[in-house]
Amino acid sequence: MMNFWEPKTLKKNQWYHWKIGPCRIWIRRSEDDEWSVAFDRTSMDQHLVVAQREKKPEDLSLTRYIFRSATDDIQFLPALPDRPVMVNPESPVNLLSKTKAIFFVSIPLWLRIYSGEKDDALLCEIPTEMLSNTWFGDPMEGELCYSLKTSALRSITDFEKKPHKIYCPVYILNNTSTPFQFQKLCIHVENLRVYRANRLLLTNDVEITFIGEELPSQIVLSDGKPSIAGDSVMICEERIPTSKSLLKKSFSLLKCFTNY
Amino acid sequence: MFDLGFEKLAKPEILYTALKVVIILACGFLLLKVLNFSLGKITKRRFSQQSSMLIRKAVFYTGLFVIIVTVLRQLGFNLTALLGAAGVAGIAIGFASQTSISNIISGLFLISEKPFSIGDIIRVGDLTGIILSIDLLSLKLRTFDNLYVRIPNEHLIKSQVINITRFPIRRLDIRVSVAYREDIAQVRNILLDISAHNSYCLDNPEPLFVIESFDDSGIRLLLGAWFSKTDYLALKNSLMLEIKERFDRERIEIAFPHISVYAGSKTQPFPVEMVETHPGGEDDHEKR
Repeated sequence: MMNFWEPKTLKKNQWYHWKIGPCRIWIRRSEDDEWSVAFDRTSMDQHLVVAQREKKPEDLSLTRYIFRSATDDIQFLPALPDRPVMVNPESPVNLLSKTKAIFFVSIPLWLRIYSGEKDDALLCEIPTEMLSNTWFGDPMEGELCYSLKTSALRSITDFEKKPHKIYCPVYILNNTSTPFQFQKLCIHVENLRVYRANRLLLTNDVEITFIGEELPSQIVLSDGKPSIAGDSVMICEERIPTSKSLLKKSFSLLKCFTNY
Repeated sequence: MFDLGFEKLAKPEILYTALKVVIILACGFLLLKVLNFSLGKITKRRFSQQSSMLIRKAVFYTGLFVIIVTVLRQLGFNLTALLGAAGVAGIAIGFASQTSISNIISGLFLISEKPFSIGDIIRVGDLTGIILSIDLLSLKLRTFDNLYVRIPNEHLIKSQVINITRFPIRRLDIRVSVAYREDIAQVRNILLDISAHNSYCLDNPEPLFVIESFDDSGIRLLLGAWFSKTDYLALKNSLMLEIKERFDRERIEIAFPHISVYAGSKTQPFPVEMVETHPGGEDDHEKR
């Protein structure tokens, strides 16, 4: 698993094949400064395959990337989806009054392919799984999200570890005097970072405090490493820094009032 | 020989006035252009496209009026008399331009109501198109087959206007009739399964399934699938195709108009005769 995320040097004019979860990738570096990338999501098993020399299937289309001066190195990095994720538990979960619980949500990662190690040499981003679209909000106002079913497991060890998943620890506190049924939860994954701990990929903690049906829940994204893996290393920053997004949300509200 | 009086024009005072007028016009228009351009950049960031256009037009026409009045004063016209004459002419013009004034007033109401804005897709009667501009007298649309349509504001105020892209999501209603012999529960499951696997169909709000009516030839069903407003064509084509293919695969009959003739329990079976047709077009029956 560690090798998958490390930079690799590829020989020219040779196809290399990787597999992560259902996603299979083929990459080739040509004599000119050009990379060719092909992928599909047809793998039935969930294993990880690292850098096999294997030709791309003939019927699979590829995309070409041309650089002014590319290196021979390629690197994969995990990223979270580019939109918020609406999480639906497979079975309803009830939190009694003044109860705090931790749940883990497994999110399919977006695979970023870099030529070399520079941030500005991003070739492409490939979702390892295609998530269906959904809407969070009412038909007049809301946001487009990805839909995700979760078993909402309580412990990270309960998961069958899959290499293409990032695990998000969600702490939910019911701060009311009545039981709260958690049915749908919208997680703004574009504000989360990705950490690597041993063979796991985790995000920073998400803490949600439910304070009533009519009031918006308080959401806090922890600034540091996930609390269950203090020795983890950050390998991907958030797509949108939290402060900017909170500011954006505030101004969106003001925009609604003033209609400008 | 004819005396055209050019010598009078060559007098220094007249030349001086003419020069002043030319400078006023040149500088005035240049200043107006620069002001218009700067306003465009400033207002685009802070206001909607529509408001920005209105502000620029208001400033431009005000500036133009100021330039014309200045030029007229330089040329020595008595503006008081002119305004008096304009008042009388205004009444005459007012009667003649009732429609235009009605359009202007309708335009102002439309602007304040904001039922739509530039870039929205609207339907007016049987016309559907993207709004290019909302002007004082009329609205300009570009239809999807690239026609340019001008609609007077007065017509818009009096008509029903549908703003298709006002809200971020929409529901596509597909009506399909199935034969009476079909298992409706199975059809329901199939339609909802198709929606669940369609990448353009939103999971939430959940797709709607309704048994609408028992028609003459079949049972009419409604499938309502929600989608992001930009995915209309992609969703419609993919859903219709998937429904047809799946129905064919599951041998579900899509009802078509037909009439069964039945005269009661005493009816004898209808006689059926097989007729061979010859290449000439005549059949055996006609020959007999």
